[in-house]
Amino acid sequence: MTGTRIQLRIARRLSGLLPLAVMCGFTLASTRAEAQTGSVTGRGAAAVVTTTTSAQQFASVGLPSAGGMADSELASVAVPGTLFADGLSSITTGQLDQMLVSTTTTAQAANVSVLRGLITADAVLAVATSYANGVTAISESNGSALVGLVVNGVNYADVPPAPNTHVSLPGVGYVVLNEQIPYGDGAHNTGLTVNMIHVYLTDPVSGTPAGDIVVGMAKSAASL
Amino acid sequence: MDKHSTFAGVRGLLAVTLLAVGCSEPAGPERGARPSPELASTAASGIALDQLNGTLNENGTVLVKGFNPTNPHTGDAIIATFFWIGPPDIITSVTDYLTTVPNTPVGNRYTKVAAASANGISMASYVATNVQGFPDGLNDPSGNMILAVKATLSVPVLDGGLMISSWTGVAPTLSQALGASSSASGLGLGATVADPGAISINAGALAYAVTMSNRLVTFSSTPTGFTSLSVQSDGFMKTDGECNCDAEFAVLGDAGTVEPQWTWDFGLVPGTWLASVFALNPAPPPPPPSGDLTVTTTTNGPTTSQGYTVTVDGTNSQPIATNGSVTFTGLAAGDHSVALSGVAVNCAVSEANPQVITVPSGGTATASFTVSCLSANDKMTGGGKLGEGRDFATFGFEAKSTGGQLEWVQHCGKGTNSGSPTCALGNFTFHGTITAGSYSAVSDQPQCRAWSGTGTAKFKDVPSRSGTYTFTVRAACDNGQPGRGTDFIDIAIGGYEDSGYLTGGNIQLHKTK
Repeated sequence: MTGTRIQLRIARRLSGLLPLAVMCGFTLASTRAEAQTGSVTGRGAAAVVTTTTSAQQFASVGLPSAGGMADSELASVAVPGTLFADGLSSITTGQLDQMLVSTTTTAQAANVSVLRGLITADAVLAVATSYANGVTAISESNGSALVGLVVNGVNYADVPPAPNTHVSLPGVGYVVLNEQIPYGDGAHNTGLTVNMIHVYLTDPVSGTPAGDIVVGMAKSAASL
Repeated sequence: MDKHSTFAGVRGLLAVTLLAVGCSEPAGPERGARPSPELASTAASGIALDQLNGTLNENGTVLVKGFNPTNPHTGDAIIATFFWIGPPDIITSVTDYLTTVPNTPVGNRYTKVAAASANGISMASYVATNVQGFPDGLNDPSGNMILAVKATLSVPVLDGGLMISSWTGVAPTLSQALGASSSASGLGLGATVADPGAISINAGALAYAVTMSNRLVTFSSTPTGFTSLSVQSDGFMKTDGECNCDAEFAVLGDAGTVEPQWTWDFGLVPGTWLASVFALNPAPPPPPPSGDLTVTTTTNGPTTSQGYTVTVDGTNSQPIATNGSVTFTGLAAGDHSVALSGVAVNCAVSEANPQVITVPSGGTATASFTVSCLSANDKMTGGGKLGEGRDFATFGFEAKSTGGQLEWVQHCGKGTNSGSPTCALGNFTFHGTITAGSYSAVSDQPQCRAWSGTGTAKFKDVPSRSGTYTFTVRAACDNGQPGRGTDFIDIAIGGYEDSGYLTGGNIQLHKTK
């Protein structure tokens, strides 16, 4: 997936999902600008619920531009009819030096129930790791997990589905499991967004986007 | 009893009683034909009778006796009590010499410690401490190298004598050794109590008591609690007049008061008695055995410290170079706490600090501190995952010399599981603060760091266990990129432990920026 495609995706989402876009908004433009001297970015949220009128982030974190660590946790969340979960936490760490820039973000939740049980999971964990050394820039999602996942009555094994697994949710929209949105040139900059459960809500009448539900969102980016 | 009274016209009769505890060595034969004194028993404390001898029937201006046939031991205290028929204060000097031909002066110093005189009889006791200058304990039947003690008199006496005794375990200086003393004299008929008076005495001290009468009569009682050291009677003096003397001694286990009393049976003829008692203190207990402690420091890596401070037992401190050594001398043998302070926050001591070091008696113990200093820019960040499946942990940290933080989240798919090393207490989150100065290198693993701190844990499945815990990252290692499968972390939070290679994420050691 190229940076152009990501920009297009963000532009498309901005029309109805501006808050989410803002939340997700470590932009390529800024990343590229910082790439001259090295930059590091990390963001995460255990859950995000976005509608046409509001956006809510739960246990969300953002890495300081100078690196370091940030974390957030929440014992439970309840958005009636939309999301129930507990054990929500996000951690992002990263640092940049002359030889290497690296960052890792984890976001997790347990006992997840989305849309009144349409999607359930015992544990959701998103892991996004990026590092760049001036020659090579790599991102990966290793460690991400979906445990005890059930989507619309279908059980999934306790291994992450293939990246960007698309499952239709009739009357609701669709869900992308283990959604991965990478970018970068692979040499000096790299980035990855991992959304373990990403529900795209659509208006059942008009078919237009009506919101997002994300459980387990981790983002990382490094440039040098 | 009439103390200090006089009884003119009666010739002296010497009677000396030494009461001793713990003395068993017999005195050697007398020089000449004088009868040898009776000997006393043994002492049970640090002070003990070493050698004893005595003589009467001496005359002229010299009273002398040697320790035939066996010399005292060097370091002993010598008590010499002189008896004579004559006026008091006629002893001009008390000296000692070896019985070589000619005599060899020895030079120990004798000091008068007690004296009494009445009705023409006199006695005086002299003490020399820590005697030296003679063959130690030599048994010399030939009598050529025997230590002899001599009193020189200003006027000749017709009858006199002396009793010499040597004692081990007495304090080496007279000021330390000499305790209280008391002397008295009296005149009586029939059963007459001779009492020099009471003196206080220290624990373990020797009480030396001596009495003399001018008539050759017997005792009906001797001091209670004392042991007879020697009873001398003087047939010549008896013929010439009469002389009885008796010396006794006691060594007291506890401090207290002694008041030796004799009962002379003078019968129908009045008799005069003299009595003295004095105390000699024991040698002070030897200082506890001691040893030395040498502390060395070795500092690796950059440090701004000019040196450190080594403190033993919390109070005894010395400065020490960053790469140096200091020695603490005269420490009591045994265990001592040795602490190194002044270590910069970017440095850590590899060994326990403080250390407990055992100092041997008469030897030197060593304590070493290895200080490893990291660059001021040295820090480590990391985040990711340990474990797979339903039981896993996620973490993140930022650690450096000045501190940092750590987040640890344990996920347990089935809640508590006593059979699981990581899920015995189920799900929890832990947020810790890294203690400044705890961030340190790991020996022989340059890519690893260790640190510790405290934090708060929230247990979901066992809420009662929630609270504050200390934590230690025993090692976090950046073994390259990607961190998954190569980077390593080993952590303990309270009783929880987890370690392994990362199944996701990365650990990054940053040495420069």
